[in-house]
Amino acid sequence: MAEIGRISLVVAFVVTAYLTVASALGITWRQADLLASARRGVYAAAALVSLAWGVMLYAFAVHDYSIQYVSHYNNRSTNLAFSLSGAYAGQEGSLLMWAWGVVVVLLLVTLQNRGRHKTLMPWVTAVMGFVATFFLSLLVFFSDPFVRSTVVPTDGQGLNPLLQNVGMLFHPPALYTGYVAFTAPFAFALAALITGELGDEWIRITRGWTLAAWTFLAIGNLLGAQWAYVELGWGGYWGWDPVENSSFMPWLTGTAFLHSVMIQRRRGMLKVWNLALIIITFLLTIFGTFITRSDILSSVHTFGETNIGPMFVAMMLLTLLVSAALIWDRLPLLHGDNELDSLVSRESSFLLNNLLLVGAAFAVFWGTMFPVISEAVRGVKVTVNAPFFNQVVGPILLGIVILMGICPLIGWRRASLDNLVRNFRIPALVALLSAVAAFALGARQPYAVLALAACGFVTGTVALEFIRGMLAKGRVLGRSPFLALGALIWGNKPRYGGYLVHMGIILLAVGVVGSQGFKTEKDVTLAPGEEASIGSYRLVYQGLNDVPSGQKESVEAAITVYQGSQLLGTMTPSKEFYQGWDSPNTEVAIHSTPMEDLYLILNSWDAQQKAGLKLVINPLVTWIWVGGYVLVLGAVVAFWPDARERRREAARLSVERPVAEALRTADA
Amino acid sequence: MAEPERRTHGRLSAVAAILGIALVALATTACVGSPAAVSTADDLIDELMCPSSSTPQLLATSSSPEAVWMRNFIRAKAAEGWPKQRIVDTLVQQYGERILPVPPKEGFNLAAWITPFAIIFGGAGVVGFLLSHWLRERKLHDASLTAEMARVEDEDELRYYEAQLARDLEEFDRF
Repeated sequence: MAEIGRISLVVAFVVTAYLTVASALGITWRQADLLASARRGVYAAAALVSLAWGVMLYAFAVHDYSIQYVSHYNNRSTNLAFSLSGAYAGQEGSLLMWAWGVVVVLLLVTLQNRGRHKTLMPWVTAVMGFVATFFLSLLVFFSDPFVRSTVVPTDGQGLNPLLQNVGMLFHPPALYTGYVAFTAPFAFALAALITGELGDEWIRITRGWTLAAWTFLAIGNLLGAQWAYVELGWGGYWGWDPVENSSFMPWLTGTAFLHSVMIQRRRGMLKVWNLALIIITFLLTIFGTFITRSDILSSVHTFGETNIGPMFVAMMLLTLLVSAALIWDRLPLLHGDNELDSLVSRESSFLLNNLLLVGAAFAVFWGTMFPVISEAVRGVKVTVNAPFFNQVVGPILLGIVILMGICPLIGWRRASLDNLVRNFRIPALVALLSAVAAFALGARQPYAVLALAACGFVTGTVALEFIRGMLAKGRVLGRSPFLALGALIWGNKPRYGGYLVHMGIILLAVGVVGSQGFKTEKDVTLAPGEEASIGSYRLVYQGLNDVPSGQKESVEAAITVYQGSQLLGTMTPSKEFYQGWDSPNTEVAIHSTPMEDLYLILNSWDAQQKAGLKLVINPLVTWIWVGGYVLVLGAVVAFWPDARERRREAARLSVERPVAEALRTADA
Repeated sequence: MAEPERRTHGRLSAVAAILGIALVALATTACVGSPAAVSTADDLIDELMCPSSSTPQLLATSSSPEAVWMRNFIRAKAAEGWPKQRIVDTLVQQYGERILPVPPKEGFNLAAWITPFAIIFGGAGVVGFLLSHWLRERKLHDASLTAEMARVEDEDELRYYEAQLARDLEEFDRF
């Protein structure tokens, strides 16, 4: 079994190296046979790496401990779902999943564009083939997932108890899908640079991939936050851990890219900026993969010390140098088709939005890397923990939220003063009254009041956009505005899907402001029968129970919870002791409502059953997850094929393409 | 906009405003409550980092011998009336700056705090300057075009262009 996997990877490595070279030479020398052969190489590579991945999954499913990697991340008492997730729990398996993802994306891009974009596709194939070759070279030469066990154990070590959570089934695959999907727009960007086809065609072709990558990164980040909240037992959901940061940064630059390409498609501007953005986004996905494998930063997510960090550095440097050289060489072709008409315009506000998004990504990068920089420059280790990011990145994200409300209110090209006053009136009033309401209800932290006012402002903007659209649509269709809502959204999915995404972000922001700014915590030690209170809750500690269950033994604290005089039920925070693992796992108990979460952690106990408990009230946490669902729904709506958009695009291209061709012929 | 439509727009806008304010008001209602008072010792234990963990870990959650010693030290010194900063300074002298949750805002560490904002404001300055410059150039270009057009209003040139136009239109009509 291991031999099949190993041989598949070696042959796949040779095939991807071949198709990279064949594709590049085929288009350079105009050899149709070479190009056809490279295409067949894509199919072969996808089949071979899929075979290797399938072998790995099968080995985990049947507990094949003749493979060393399987014995490290699986044992016989692990159920099938967690067994399969063990395949990507370690470095080798996760690299194999990355490689598999790249060849699958390459296959899908090849099939999607069969017979089309004949000058771009060979270079797209070459670039993605190169990325696949890189990951396969790591697997073949440095990090073989199919190494044989010297002595085959009767049982494996098993998956880390922290990873035995439903989040493990979805969080890593979602994140990796996001990372891998960004390879497609990156490859098309490089292909556009190489071929000189620097209109917005490459953006149009890859819009779906960009949206998909962005959405999966968002889902992956949110699932990770939710998993940390229910599993790690510290009452929080985002610790600004280096690996968390490394998946947040490409999402930020990807968001900037999604917005600034609208300007290129509409006005033919910001061509260099858009190219740079997608290149940076791709580099950040590689950087994220590097962080977990390089040991330069300590994180709960890292795979430990490995020898492949320098390979990632080389890959990132090579990508950066080649991309920069290509942009420099093509600068004369990258002039905008139009110029800015006014500083007060949607184009300018999008530029500012981009600046803040990229600035936020830089702030996160800077904070993440500062411990390394400090040690390199001064030889002094420092820690850069959550308070730094809250103080530095928080205000930048607040600025982005405010811009989310401003941008839709400003027209393209030029906004008049009358126009601005008319459009800003109601959202500004909503913001002011929101601030007054927050203050009147007792919020005193200026930052929280400002953040809530910004959320009110954006809500007002989005609601106004929907109202105006509903009125106009209702007039056209002869229906009441409310009945026209469905037709409104369906008739312009990218736009209204985008507004739904904005509302998702606002709900998320409200949840973050509530849970970060107004958390209440209390540490208590209770003997059986004693009670404690926090907020409107009264908690009566009943005692401890020992609960053995298969491979683990739990110590649970039984706590009866009242809110006022109403009995809410019994909550059981616990510690779980897994066979073969020294540290216990903390299982928190959570009582969730839309307004707040009551969060209980069992910290310690003694022989007399006196329990040390942490009681936490987290206001509005539920809205973080709800905001996430709304964000994903908005992304799906925006992503859904839009017939009207396709017709508009076709009409635009039917004019632009002949003109571009005529200009190219004239230049020649 | 017709009057009935204006009224509908006004009512719906009021709904939008109420929605936004209600969202914020509800959110604030959930949030407000005075946090439990914490002692200096609890404060410090919750803030500082464990000096011996291989991954960044809060002092409050670490079970390493150094973490246990630090917690006991903090409680003892807080009970003796030591101010917070003195306790922190003593521990930093012993374990280094890594026990602080963030780099102190002084010396080289100031770069951690300032650089992101410098990049953003610097970037905004450069972009703003370039955009103003381009707009100014464009205004000058447009102005010179206008001047050029005004010059062409010289009669002879006007007659020449009128004749050219007539010839071009005749050519066009033929096709």
